[in-house]
Amino acid sequence: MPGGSDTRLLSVGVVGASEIVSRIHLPVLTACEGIGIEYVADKNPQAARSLAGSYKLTPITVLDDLDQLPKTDVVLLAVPVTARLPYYEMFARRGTCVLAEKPLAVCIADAEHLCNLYPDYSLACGFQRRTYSAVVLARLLVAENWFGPLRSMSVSEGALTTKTGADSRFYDDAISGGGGVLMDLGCHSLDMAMYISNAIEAIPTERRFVYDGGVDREVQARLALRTANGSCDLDYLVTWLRSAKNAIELRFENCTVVLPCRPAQELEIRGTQNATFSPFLMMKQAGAATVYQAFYMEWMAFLDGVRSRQASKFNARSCLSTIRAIEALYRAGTPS
Amino acid sequence: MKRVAILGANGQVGSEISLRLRNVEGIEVVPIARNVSGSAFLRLNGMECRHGRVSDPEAARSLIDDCDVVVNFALSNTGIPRIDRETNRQIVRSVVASAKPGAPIIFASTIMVYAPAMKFWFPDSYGMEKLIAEKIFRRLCRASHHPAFVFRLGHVMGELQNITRKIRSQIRNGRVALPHQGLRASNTVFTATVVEVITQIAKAAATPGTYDLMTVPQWTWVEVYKYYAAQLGLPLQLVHAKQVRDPTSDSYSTSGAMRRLLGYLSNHHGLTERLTFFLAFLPQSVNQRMYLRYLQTRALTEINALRQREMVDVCVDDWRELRVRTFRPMPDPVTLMMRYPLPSELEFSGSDQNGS
Repeated sequence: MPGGSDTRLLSVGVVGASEIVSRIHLPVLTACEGIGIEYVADKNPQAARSLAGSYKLTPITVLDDLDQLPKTDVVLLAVPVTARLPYYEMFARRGTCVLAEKPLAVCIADAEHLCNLYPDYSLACGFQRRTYSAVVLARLLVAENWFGPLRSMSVSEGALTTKTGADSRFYDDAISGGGGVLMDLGCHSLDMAMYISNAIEAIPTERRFVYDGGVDREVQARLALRTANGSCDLDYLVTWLRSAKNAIELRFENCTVVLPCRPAQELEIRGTQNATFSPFLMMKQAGAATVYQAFYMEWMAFLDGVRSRQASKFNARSCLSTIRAIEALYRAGTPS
Repeated sequence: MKRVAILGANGQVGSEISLRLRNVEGIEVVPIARNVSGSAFLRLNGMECRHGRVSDPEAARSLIDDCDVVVNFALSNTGIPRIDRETNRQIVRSVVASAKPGAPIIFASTIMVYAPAMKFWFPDSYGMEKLIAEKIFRRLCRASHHPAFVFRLGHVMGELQNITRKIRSQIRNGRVALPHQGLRASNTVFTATVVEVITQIAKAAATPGTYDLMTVPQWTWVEVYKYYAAQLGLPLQLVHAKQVRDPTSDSYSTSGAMRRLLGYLSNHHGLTERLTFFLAFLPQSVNQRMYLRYLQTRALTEINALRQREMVDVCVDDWRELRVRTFRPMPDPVTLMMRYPLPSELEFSGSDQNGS
């Protein structure tokens, strides 16, 4: 949480007038202390004007010459991932710190290139689920071996998703979105699994992709997670085609710990016997219990890092193993 | 050798005073408790105790009539106001009537008589009862020619005091929040100071009267916490005012009509649905603005809940700084705590390692 002694006001620019910006980032940023939002920019002048007007901010139309964007200390970069490279390069030249919406990049080579452009503290990627209370607690109990070594994990996330609304446009556009369900939704739960287990690598051993016109709609896979303490299997399902458990299970020798993919404060502990009751572990003091709290904590951690020049837990380099795993899955699952 | 009776020796203050007085030269301390279970801790630490009800004049006489000084820490605290009032006044009457002729009597009162938590003088029932008991005590002592000492005690600090355990626990747990950055006087007194006062009275070196028993010059809360942090060998981590939860302030909550309106609407779906019908007649830009305003309010409410959760409660009461009517110039508490130590191997004193 915020606590650094440097409390200077940071100027923030917002690039991309997308749904995630209007519904999540701007409500959160307007509640953050120690910042001033300078502008909302988009290639579409109408979108920039409409969104900026709603928050009484300055709209900017992004022209071909990106250098015309006003200078700020920090930028939220929320344009489609495939269009981001010129922005990354321009902001790096300026020394502007960037919080990028996920995914950071579509491939590991690009991601590594970006990490080399910025100091660690000044480029971050929005894997805000790392702030969820239940995730913080799960990572702690794995790291400290509360229930012994982690034997295996499973992730199951998704639902029958048939939205045709504004924010569904990327579901049919694997090119600008950088991928389908795995890149859009799955990267979050995969990152949660890797973050909780502190895995440094995930190697796909089995996979099954359901493609629909080039867009992956369901991915089922088994990955070998390599951690500092050995390795464990991860059974992974992410889908837009059916209901999933929307939970992560951590299996230890004598119990299984279950946490939801959504923000929560509790973990459920199940014994090996079929008990009528499952005890819950609760993390009350650290972590987010709602989506807005998660984004707020992500922003405050990133901004604190910018002030103190210390990398936050969202720093881009910490996301590389997740990006590498996604790329490995896509490579393995490419339809012939 | 002066024999000093400690009434209410089973209590927190009475126990520690008894133990610290135990090795004072020229003093024989006589702890008195109502029953043997009350005195168990002192007895198991090697102190001889007397037992009986001091509210009963007959019993009181047998308990204290051979003592040269009587210190009254006894307090009825049943939670039933009528019973407590009658018992406490009866204790005062009984003690004055039973004490050895001419023996100084000390009545332990409280700074609560000043209503320090209030901006104006309006004591709580505890303070008011003590104030009335003081008056009864002084009147009876005047009539019976007993030198009367009334000591209004501040927060009593010492090894066996809950407040000390609490402070240590707070220091161990990390972040400490103090009102006014801890710079206001703490109205505290250390048990060793109380022992020093009793010792001086036993040596007939004090003038009867009503005094405020607090450290002089007053220690601020920061000084008190620093003292204990140094004892623990831990750094004192004071939190910034912004990280402190102020129960009286609503500054972080989404204020105003919008929150109330949204809150009301969220509980009245029938009304919301009907309003939505009319909302659709307004321009799209207004619709969008209202929707985003709703999201902003919701985000702020949730973030405020998070901020509140992560804030630190103020560790001590925000009381007024009291002007002290001092007993006489006294050594500082650090010197006195060393002069009147507790026995080095205290049994059953309990650990405050996990105190809350």
